[in-house]
Amino acid sequence: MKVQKHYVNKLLCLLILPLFCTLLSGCWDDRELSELGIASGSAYDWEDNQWKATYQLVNPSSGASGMGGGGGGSSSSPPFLTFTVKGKTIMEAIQRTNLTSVREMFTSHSRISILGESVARKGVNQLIDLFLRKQDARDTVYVFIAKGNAGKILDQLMQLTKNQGAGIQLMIEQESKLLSYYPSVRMFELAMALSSESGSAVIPEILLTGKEIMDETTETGRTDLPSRLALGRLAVLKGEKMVGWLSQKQAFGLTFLTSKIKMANISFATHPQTSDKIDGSFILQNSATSLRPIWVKDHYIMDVNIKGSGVLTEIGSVMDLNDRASISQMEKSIENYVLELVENSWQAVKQLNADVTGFAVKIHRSDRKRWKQIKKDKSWDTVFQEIEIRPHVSIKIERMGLSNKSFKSIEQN
Amino acid sequence: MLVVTTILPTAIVVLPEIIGSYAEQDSPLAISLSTLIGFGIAALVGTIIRYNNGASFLDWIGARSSPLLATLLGLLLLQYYLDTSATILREFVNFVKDTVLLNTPITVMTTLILVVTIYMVRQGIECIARVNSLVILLFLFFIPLYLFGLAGEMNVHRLLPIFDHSLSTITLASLTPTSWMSEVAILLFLAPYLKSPQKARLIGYMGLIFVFLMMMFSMITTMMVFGPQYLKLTTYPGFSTVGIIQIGRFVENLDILFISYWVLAIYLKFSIFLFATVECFKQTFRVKSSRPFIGALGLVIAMECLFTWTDPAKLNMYNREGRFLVFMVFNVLLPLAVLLINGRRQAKSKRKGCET
Amino acid sequence: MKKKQQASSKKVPDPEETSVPAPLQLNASLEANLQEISKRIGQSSDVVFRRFTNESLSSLSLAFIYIDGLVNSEIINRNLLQPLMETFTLKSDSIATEAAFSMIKDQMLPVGGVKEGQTVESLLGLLFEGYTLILFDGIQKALAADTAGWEKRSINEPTSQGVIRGPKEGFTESLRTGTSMLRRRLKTSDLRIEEYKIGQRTQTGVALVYLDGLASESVLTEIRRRLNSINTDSILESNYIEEFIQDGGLTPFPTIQNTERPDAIAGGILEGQVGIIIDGTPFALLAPSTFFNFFQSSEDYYQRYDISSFLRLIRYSAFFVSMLLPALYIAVTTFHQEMLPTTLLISLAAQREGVPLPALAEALLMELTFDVLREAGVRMPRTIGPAISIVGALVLGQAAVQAGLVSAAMVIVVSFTAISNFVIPSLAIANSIRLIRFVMMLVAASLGLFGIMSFLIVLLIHMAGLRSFGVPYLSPLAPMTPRYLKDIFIRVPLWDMTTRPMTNLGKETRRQASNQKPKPAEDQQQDQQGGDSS
Repeated sequence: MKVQKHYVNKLLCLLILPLFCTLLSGCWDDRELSELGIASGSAYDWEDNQWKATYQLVNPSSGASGMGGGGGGSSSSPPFLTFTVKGKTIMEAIQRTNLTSVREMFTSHSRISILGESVARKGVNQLIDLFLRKQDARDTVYVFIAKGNAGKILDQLMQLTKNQGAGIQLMIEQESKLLSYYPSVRMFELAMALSSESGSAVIPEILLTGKEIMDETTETGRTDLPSRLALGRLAVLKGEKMVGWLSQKQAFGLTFLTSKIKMANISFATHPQTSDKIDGSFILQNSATSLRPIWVKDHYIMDVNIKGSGVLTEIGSVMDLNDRASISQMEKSIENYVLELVENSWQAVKQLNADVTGFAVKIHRSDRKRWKQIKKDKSWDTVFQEIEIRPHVSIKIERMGLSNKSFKSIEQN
Repeated sequence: MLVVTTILPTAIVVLPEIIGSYAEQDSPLAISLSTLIGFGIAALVGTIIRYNNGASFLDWIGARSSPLLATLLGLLLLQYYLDTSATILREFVNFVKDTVLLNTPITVMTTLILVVTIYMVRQGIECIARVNSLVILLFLFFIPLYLFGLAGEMNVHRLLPIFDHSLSTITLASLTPTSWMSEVAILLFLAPYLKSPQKARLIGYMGLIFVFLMMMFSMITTMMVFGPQYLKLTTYPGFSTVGIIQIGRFVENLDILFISYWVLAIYLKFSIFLFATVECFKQTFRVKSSRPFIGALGLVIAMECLFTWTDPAKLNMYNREGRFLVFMVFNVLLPLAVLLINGRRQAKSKRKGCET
Repeated sequence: MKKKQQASSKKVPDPEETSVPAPLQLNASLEANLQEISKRIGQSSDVVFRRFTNESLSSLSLAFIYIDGLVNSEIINRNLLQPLMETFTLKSDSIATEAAFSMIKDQMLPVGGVKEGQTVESLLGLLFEGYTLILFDGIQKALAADTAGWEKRSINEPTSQGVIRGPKEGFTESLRTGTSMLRRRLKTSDLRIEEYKIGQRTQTGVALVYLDGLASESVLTEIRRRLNSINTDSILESNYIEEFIQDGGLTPFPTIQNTERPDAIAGGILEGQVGIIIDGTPFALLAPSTFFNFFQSSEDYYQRYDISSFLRLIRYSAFFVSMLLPALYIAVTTFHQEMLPTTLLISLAAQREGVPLPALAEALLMELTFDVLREAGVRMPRTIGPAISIVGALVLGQAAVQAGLVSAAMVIVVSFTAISNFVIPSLAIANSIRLIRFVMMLVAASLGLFGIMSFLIVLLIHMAGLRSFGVPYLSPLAPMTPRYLKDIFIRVPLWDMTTRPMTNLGKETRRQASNQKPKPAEDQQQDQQGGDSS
């Protein structure tokens, strides 16, 4: 028995060895680092009934990406390269990059995805499907819209960072955290919003501030670029198609309605009774919005309750901060400002008839039976139009900053 | 603990999608229902084991009733276990191929997995149990990571509204997880190796509770992150959630890490099933030593896996609909029948004892 | 020094057996005996034959035989020759040889160990131990007096396992010194030392040291059985014994510890292990050993518990690093690039731009180079050793990176792996990790993380099935017994270690009183008062 076992062992070893050899020789899934084209951003357009995809590939040999803008030490080769391809489907376009590119496209590090307005008007569902289905296309990319041609955006070099895709991601993250005008939208969040009961979503716009595209490294060797990347308006999608734009102020109001405010700056008039001059600034540090739908007779009333608190940062008029009355006056002023924002935004949204505020989800959660009825009648659009909002804002100025009187009030003249 | 590994790995992969498509937000309820039923099954199995006090299952049946019945049962069970093992292997390979290794041919992966598992079974159930306890310990490391990473994304409101769906849909949704829970019947074959067969019922319960907690945890967190509709899309929702985790700027795309851990767990599950198959074989055909047969059985499983289940749609449908019937028959009705027979026998022998 | 193992007809003598099959009895004639012995020994120049007679003992002819170099000549001269040549005890002329024999043996030899011998083989065996043979003319018995004394290395610091705080004694090549060091540490009557002579031609003394009542009986019987079944030509070092008695044929993992430090052996014996000291080498063995024994160093108990726990954790992470790091690097950079942060990926890609080799080849090349350097460092004469190692490590690595042969990240990975290999206290496990690492790299290069996980499971199963003299290799982790975990991953303070670990297979004796945690004096008083009142 022992001898037999010994032979069986030997046999097993003999069998395993060739297996390992085959494993070594035919490593099916490995990709060397030098074969990869690391895509840091992608853009999609719809032109002449064809998908046009632009990919931005990082150029590793131009030094590690990091700080270091123009200047003598920078290399001559640009930090990234772009490829533009066309195809009947998106994957066909992607695969056609193999006709021109030296390296295999590696999209797992892609940061951003820019959709051209043409794609948005046509319908985004095919694109979203690609992102959710393909194994190495991450669904955590940030989505943007560009007016006109999206591919051009990817050509623009950025200062202070060599990886443009990562740079744009940093931009939107920072903005949504510090400014709260536009929410940062990732692909899966987009998919979630479009597949929820509301059926609508928003996407921030990215644009170039100037006319020219800075796509040569020599051009970026200046201190003040004539044309930079910036965030613009907010695009609204209903179903899978784009239906309109929201301006900055309207977008800001929308953020209040959807309770996505993290930190925001509000400029208000410190003495609203005497003058309309906007000369004060307030940073809203915490804010929460609660929505409650109430059914009244034949339509819904959304009770919007916005609470917030923050710190004063700038006062341009005469003001004594130890005076309780002037503080509540300022608070009132801020509250009015926010109310105005919210009303403005709501009107715009109603006009577009897209439920980006997420009211449908709220109604489903709180009022199930009526929602079932609405769903059966497919009457959400009409119901949505009839919703009126009742906003209440209550802002508290918690801290005044480091000085307790405005500077103007101690000026002698 | 072995019970946990028996049920959990494939459950986490396959079930959320199925339950989600039926029940959406009410999935936690469906899971609870199925666990309750699972308790019943565990009680059944535990009782049987207590009666036969740790003897091997088929031998005991043969002693109680006729040996022919035992062989017949053995053949049926053997076929069942072979089938189940093949489906597990298929799911394993499918999953790995989908997420990690896209281009590697299935044959290579199957062979590798088989070789490893055959080695594992040769070493014996003791080693498997020991490694199992180690692997479950490791789980403790992953849970905080998971929670910490996802804390920002979770939104409790997405769990509402509950009770949106009718009881019938919930029951429908809970059928498949019940069939999974019924895999606890594998204790029947592990019985000879348990240290204390009296505690078999307790072991079944504890294992089921643990599985329940894990499933709830995974289901609830996934729903909190994604919301019920999006859940229907993804094939492997648990792992998609992990893919979103982004801690700081440098830790992202962790799903590969979790997948690696899952690979460890599924190896264990597959080896447990292979072990059960071998045990069944050993008892049916009354062979003393199982060493040479492990390889042969493994080969059979591999063949079945490769050729029968080439179509993932078929596998999905089987998971959704067919599996329930099969599992119910073998994991519930069979032990029930055995228990009844046993009860009758005991009553008869008691009567006989009283008479004489 | 390889010697082929000869199948011999002579059995290795057990401690109980005293006779050898077909031994040659001593002849009554002195001449014949001397001829026989010199025939067997040959004409070696260090064997001394000294014949003399003692008038007072009725002209008894005596012969001394000893091997110069193995004996302490002072003892021979003073304690053997002097009394035998100079005493004038008997007045009577005639005294039977028999009586003379017993008189000399019992009364006239101021030497500690005196043995009687009747066969040539046993006498020769004693001769090689440093005994002086005293042959008599006229009887078929001979005496052997213990006069052993040879040049020994003095006790100095162990070369391989040094500590900062703790005893700095190490075993030497002498078995007796070793046992004496253990006796000095374990001054209890339970300490048992059993000696064996193993090896046909080397007759190496092997001592089994254990504490009676503490070491498990089954382990002892098993070790004795295995030692007795060793049938080989030579035992030159403890590794010869280790390879013969270890469990598991082809496992890469060691199941027996080896150490040069007597305090480590003493500590192990106190926990129920059995120590095996071998003459001729300072490295002694400890059995049975679990996996976690190899990560404990005696220094852990000489430093405070918090730093010891921290260092233990570092050792375990070093174990994983040195086994997995190159494999993980290869797997992640070739299969799973999406796991890396983007900036890291870009800089790695930038580094690999000019490198011609694929990642696996590069890793293997660097690893092998490093192993070559390490081996060279061991054999280097001490004067040029440091210079070459600096040249090797730094310059070679640096130059290779600059020449574009390897990438800088790979050099970092390989050097860190090698350095973490040295963190592990036991060289045995460190060596097995070196080998496993190569297989890991191969597996990683073919199947990525999936391959690593598969191989890891194979290793785990293998370790879980391994037993060291009956103790499961992965206890107390694998058959999970929480109360034994106090000394594994962290070291709990000494006042908390009330029971022994598992290596003595369940003989769980309390080794110290509970409630030993140091408390300030007032609390102790209060405790006492509380104790008194209750």
